[in-house]
Amino acid sequence: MSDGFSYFLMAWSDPSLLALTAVGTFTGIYIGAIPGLSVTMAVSILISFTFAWDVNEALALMAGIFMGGVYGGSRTAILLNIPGAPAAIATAFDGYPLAKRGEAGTAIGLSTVMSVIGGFVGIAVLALAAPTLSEFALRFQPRDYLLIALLGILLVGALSGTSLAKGVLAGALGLLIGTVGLDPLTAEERFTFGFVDLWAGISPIAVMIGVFGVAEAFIQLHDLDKKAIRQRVDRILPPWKQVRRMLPLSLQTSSIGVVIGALPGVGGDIAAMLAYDHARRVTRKPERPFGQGAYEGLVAPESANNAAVGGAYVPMLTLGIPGDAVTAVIIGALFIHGLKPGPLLMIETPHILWFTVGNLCLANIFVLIFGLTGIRIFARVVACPKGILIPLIVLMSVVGAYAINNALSDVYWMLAFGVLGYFMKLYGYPVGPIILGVILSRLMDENWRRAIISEQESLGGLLSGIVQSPLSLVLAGAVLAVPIGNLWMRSRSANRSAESKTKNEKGNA
Amino acid sequence: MRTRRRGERVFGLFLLALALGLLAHAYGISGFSGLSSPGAFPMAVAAVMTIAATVIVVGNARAAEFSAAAVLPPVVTVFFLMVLAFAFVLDAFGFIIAATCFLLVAIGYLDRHSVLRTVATTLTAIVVIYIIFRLIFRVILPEGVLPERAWLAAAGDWLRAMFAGGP
Repeated sequence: MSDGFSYFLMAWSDPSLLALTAVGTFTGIYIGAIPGLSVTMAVSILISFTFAWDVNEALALMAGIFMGGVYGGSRTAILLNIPGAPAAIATAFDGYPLAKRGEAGTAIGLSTVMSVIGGFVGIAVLALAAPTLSEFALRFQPRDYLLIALLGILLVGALSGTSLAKGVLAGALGLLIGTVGLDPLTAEERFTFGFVDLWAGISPIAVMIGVFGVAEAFIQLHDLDKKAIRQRVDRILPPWKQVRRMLPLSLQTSSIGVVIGALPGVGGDIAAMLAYDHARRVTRKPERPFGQGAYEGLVAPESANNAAVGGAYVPMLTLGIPGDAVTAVIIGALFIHGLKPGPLLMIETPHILWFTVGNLCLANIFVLIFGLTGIRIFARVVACPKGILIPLIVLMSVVGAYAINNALSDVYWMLAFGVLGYFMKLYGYPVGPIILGVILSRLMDENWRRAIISEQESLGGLLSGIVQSPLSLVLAGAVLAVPIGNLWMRSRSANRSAESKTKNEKGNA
Repeated sequence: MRTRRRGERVFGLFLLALALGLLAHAYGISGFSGLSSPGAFPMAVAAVMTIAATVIVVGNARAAEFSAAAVLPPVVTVFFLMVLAFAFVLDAFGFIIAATCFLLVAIGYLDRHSVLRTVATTLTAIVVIYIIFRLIFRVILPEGVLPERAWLAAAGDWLRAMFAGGP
């Protein structure tokens, strides 16, 4: 216990870790705020740069950027109606109307405090649940890993993007990219087309930087001339009475955030949307209607998206399965530094959990400090013209891709995936499932083979094994529920729009 | 009715062709030899991808409304060629020269303000990026034409000599 406590305090007492967390959080707030920069992009680029660092330092920086970035998106959502990060889309719904009423300062202050509360809820759950879950995870059979990975990809595909088919396609593509190279079990060539260079596969980092960094930069070129409007900002600190009044809703939405964050693959952006929806349903008499500056509409998504950060770390550390896109990238970093996320992590290197908990708490406090200060400078930096921002993003992406292995080929792969990602984003294909697929590919393949070999290559045996184990049954049920639920909801909304169409026609007749 | 963008059908067909190609190649790995063979997982995934691509192509064919919004505005193509050129010359010219040229051209093209602003931004960016990534993160960037390492070594020696020569 005292061991864990000393690791918890590590980030607080070591000056370089303290500084890195602070720098990370501060930078993260700006990265999250500037539309065109994303936390996933930044963390992807940082993995190759922090390769030579001590693992704790790399993790501290990334945790800071994560926490800061998820919060930072709300700033521009409130001030400019441009969410800097997907997690802040719901924040703009009521945040921007508040700013238009001249209450930008209150909005920013409230969202900061609520984000910090949400953050602590998420971290608390991480601290409490992870040790229990990782013991439970030791009982996970290969088929359970297979099912949970499948669930993650399906969830991400179903909830983002315009259609389930597009999401499934993106996920499948990611899984296939992950199989490129020599088969780990039999050393047979897969998708290498005779190129020895491809035996080690395509670097997932190059794919990530391409799809999240370069593709997004190219998409931003469409909005080159969008100008930012300045806002007046004062009276930042929210009155204690208001915070207390919002507390129950904040705790409810934080819980939603943690659970969603913990689900493999889905993270802050979806948590924020569901939280906003929840707030709309449970708030009976908001001071102002939702969509016109209701404080509840601001509190809910902000608590949820920060709570999702702690939640996303749970499956990442205990099962080795990312809770969202950013933790997917952070898993890559853990592997590079020789760690093994998964149930063995708690046994072999338990200090990582306590270090992460302490680190995230520290980052959360920095969010509070940086969030309530320096807003005027912020407004100026964030209005950086896109003509300058976009080449800088691309430059750093190229440097980041080159730095993976000092190989120009990674840069070319990154560009190729940048082009693919550009068209995919343009046509409504979600790109999150690609990254998830790449990261989970080997895990799914190996667990599939282990599962089927242990059933003597009998598919029937595997299915009966699933039915007989309560855990596997629940997971399999969840896997089936996603496409079925998705199709059912789509047919319901299609019926509703068809009904309203005929109603309109009748009304006009 | 779903809106279709220009080129969306073509892209859908491209993805379908890609999926079929990957499926064929996956079959070539180990055929139907067994559920735990190295080709089993890739084949299953490629099959799923093919089904998804087919569903999308059919959906694209059905979508009635058409949005004529530009999908590949010239600015994107030109900028992409700049990035490609930068990647080509990165090794040969070295990071400092290649990146400086890239930023000057790209910012000049996209930002459309004064030349002074372009040059100032570029130089600031290169200096900051160099310090952060080369010196702090210690990332090895391609050296190319400029004898960077020799310069850094000389600078290091000079600094050491300065402090050693003191009291």
